[in-house]
Amino acid sequence: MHLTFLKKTSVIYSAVFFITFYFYVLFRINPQIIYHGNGVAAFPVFFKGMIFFKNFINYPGGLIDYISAFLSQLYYFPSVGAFIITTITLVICLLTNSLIKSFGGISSRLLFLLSAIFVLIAFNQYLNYLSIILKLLISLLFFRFYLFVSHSKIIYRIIFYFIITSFLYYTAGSSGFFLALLCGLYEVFILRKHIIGLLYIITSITSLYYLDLSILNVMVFDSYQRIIPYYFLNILAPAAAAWGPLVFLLLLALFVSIFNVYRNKKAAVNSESEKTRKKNSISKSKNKERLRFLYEALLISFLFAGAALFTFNKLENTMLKMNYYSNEEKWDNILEEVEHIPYEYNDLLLKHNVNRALFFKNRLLESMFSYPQDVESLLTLNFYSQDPTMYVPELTIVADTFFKIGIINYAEHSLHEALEVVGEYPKIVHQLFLINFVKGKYNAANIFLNLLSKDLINGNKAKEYKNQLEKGSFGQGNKIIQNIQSIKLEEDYDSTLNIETVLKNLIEKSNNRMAFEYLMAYYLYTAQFDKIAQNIKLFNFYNYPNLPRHIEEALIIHMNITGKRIDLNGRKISRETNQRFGLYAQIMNDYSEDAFKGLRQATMVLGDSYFPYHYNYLIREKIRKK
Amino acid sequence: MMRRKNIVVLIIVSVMVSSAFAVYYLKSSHTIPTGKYAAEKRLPKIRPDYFDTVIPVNIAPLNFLIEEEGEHYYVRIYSSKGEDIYVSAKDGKIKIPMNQWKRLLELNRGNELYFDVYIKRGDGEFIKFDSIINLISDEEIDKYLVYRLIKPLYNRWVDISIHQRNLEDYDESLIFSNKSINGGCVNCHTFLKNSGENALMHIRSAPKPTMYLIRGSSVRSIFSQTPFSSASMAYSSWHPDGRYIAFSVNKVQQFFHTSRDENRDVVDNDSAIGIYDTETNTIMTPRGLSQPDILETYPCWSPDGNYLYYCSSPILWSDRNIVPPENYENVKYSLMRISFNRENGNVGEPESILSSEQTNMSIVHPKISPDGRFLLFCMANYGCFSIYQPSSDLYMMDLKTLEYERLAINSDKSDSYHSWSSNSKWIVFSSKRLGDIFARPFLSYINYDGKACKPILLPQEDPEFYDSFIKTYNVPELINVPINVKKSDFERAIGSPENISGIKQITKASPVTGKDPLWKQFR
Repeated sequence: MHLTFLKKTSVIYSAVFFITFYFYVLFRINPQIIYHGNGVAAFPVFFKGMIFFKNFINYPGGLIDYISAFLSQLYYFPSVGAFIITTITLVICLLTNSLIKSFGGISSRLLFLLSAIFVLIAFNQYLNYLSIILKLLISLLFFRFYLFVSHSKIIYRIIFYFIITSFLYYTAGSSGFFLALLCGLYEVFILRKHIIGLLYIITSITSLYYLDLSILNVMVFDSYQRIIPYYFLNILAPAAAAWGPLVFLLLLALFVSIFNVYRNKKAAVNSESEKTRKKNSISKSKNKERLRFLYEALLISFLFAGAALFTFNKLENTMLKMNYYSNEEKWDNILEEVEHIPYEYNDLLLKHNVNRALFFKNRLLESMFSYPQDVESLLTLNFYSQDPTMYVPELTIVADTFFKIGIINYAEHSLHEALEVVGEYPKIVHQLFLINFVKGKYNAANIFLNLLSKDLINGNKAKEYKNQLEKGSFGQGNKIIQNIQSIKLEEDYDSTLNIETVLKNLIEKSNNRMAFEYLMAYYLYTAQFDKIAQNIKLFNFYNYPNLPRHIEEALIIHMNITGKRIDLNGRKISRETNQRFGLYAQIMNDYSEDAFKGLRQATMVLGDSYFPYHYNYLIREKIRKK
Repeated sequence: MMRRKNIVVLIIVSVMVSSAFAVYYLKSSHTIPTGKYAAEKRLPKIRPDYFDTVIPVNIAPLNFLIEEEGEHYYVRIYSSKGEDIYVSAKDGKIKIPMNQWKRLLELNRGNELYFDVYIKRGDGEFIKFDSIINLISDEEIDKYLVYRLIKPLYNRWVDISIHQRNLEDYDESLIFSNKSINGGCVNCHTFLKNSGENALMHIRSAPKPTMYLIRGSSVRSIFSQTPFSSASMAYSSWHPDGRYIAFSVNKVQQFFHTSRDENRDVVDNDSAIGIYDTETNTIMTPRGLSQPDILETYPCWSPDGNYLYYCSSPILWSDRNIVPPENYENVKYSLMRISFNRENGNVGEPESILSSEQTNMSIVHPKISPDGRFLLFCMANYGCFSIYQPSSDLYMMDLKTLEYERLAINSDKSDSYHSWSSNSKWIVFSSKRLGDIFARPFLSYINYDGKACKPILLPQEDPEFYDSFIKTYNVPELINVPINVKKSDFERAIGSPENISGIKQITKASPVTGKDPLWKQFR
């Protein structure tokens, strides 16, 4: 009776566990932001059709990678993504339970849930482990198949073993190796066929080598690196997370086996006295089991909570969210999210995203210095770097900025770098379609569009574009494209991009408010106040109701330094700016002996204005000159 | 009993349904409308453009897409001999059966090949278009095409691979991928007499400038960095005897334009030509091919081995480190040649074959037909990198008369890198006419007088293959014997590289050693 109760309770506990797991994945991890991560997180692309499929049949593990790529696309729908991850985890847990039983079993009802915690830790790292997890699942499943023949003659077992490991190696790569180890352990510890067990373990390496060279004609290096989650190995935490479930299951099998060897030996010695003792202690045993169950439930709950609290990569989560918002042009969300990031966190892309959001919310020159700033973040040019491991999302996001501001070729350049490094992500393909369309390269535009039409999520949108293109109506009602066509840079420069020259050229040729604001921001960064003063009339041209706050702050500094008045085209510097400048001047006076202390004071008193940045700029210049 | 009955019924139903499908399929695929059809007095719109041209007798089926409104599409393919081929499709994708196609072409060498296209319209009416006519060449094209597949690259290269395509079917196999050398740049591949038995592949950058020397099924890896050059051996050409390989070393600099159609541009800030002796594993640096103020590049041996053709231009800048250098848009290469003594490896004096002053354009990529009659080359407005020059076109020179002409097969986009088949009857070249930024390989038949016939796009099993293929075909080379080196042998070669044994100086300058040896210091 008590066993039924415990069984029921463990089922209920497991159900609650997986429901919690699902909601954790859905709301905390949020698969959608992995999907929108522009290829960060080793996220795969997927296209319909045989051409794409053929890429997966030439290497070990390709088929599972293909399935994983397909399933990963469903992360676009967060609830479906969470469901997929949870279901796979559930199956792995059930197979873990079966694994424990096959190795002799131990008196634990919830130990199998530990697999789920390892999976959770992996996904907390914000790398897409779906392929690895699926491969783990399939190897556990094939181990179950092996158990079906475990009582057959040795020769049949060996034949079956070689068939399933070879098949598994081809379809799931590393799983073939993992399965071989499990079968080997099973033969050694359970069936006591030590030689066969060792043969399995040894041939798991040699047979893979043979398969690689003779049948699959892949490079040995290529093949063996797929046995392990190699691409995470250079970063400790993700590598550990990837290895966690694999190592756990192997150790678990080993532990259960050794435990049972020990228990059986002990049982043989004490078999008679044990029987008598058992009869006498049934009631004690009931309570003991309940208590053990309670401890187990508490332990699993604590481990779950611990994993959720301590292994969750909060920073990566925030950065991915920021990129997602930036891609989706959710500017308010960016400005809201940035509040949760430590002020000290120094990331160019983050600053770039904030500046984009501020511009599109008409606040760039009003409040950009309320946030951490760096001149490099305005139009980052890191795509010149040849380092393929460079943080990739910036390539697509900066490309979008280049595109919107009218430097089409640099947008194209940046996107091609992203395309090479991370692959054919829908966002990249879509942007390249637009760029080629704007440049009048319709053949290339069509090729990108055709590729996009094979994407599971964006296919319909691409087909709609194709229809519009065929009718000749694409771009006609699209204000962004019309705007880009009117503002794009016409002057050709063949040397390294000089931001000032290009921005000046953009505003000379057309009505390009974004280029104008970015140029003014550039002058603020570099404290070139005279150039701001020279462009003051453009604030009228672009219909600014008032001079933006940071511009006022810059001009008042300039007037005080040079002692010259500036013609503000009928505008006035506001009383608030005058007051703040007064405070700034006072701080500079008060702390003339200790500039760093002065900077701290200015930041405290005038934190959201341009003045602390200017103070810092002066200090840096002074140091540089020294 | 009841259960068994159900199973029998299920089997019968399945057989009937399958038969119905089979009958429908057979009917639809082998029926061409007989009797009434309206004649459309024009050619049907098909893609790729496979009409009015010469096709190789051994080419894979030219599958195509019919771009006409219709409910069903039928094609009859026939010639003067052999069985007609019937193909039909609901979606307009015409996929021709391989074996029937091969039989038909083989039986009809030198004859015309007809494609009759019929369309069933929505109202049930059938339409027949004018026949598409092509000529089946009696001369075969080399069986294999080797090319590099890359995305449009800028500063980074992650996925570069060299493939071998069987032109008689659609099989494509991977020869080498840069993933196995941690992402180095895998570049040019050249062959001795159109055979994969003897080949050279060069790897720029990571881990070190290296070349793979393939002999039969074995491969050697050789570090090509020497005091002559810190760069790798780039453009190369095998001497017909198979002992020497002429190669260029180039100080390649890439830069970018802010508003041109083609963003990318490449200039050689410096370059020179050397000769590698495969027997002694040494390099010769003839003075005439590595002059201090001249850019020498794109070597190409004459088929008799007595001359080395190449391109050269004076260096127009004083600082060879500035990118781009001053006057780079005025660099125009001339076509040159130099005599070669195969006994002692000595070269003569450079002689001009076609000067850039005559053409006012830049000549690059000279390739001589294996029979020695013609020289095919590219000309563009300036510079050495024709694939980035929309003005690049193909020109043919008759080596008897030294007269040349622009080929009629050029387009308004870049038409560049080309190679000859072993029988001198076919060329393959890269053109961006269909993809703007993506180059595709085109095959063209060369007449006895050096005229090129309308080119055909390399056929693919799926006629829509190129529509969404975002890689570019680079350095297409025709070969008649495939490369037969296993990937694991490449891997072994990487693990045991050799160094160049020595340099035979034919220049009088002394070698300069240092951290960054450059040929300009050397000579």
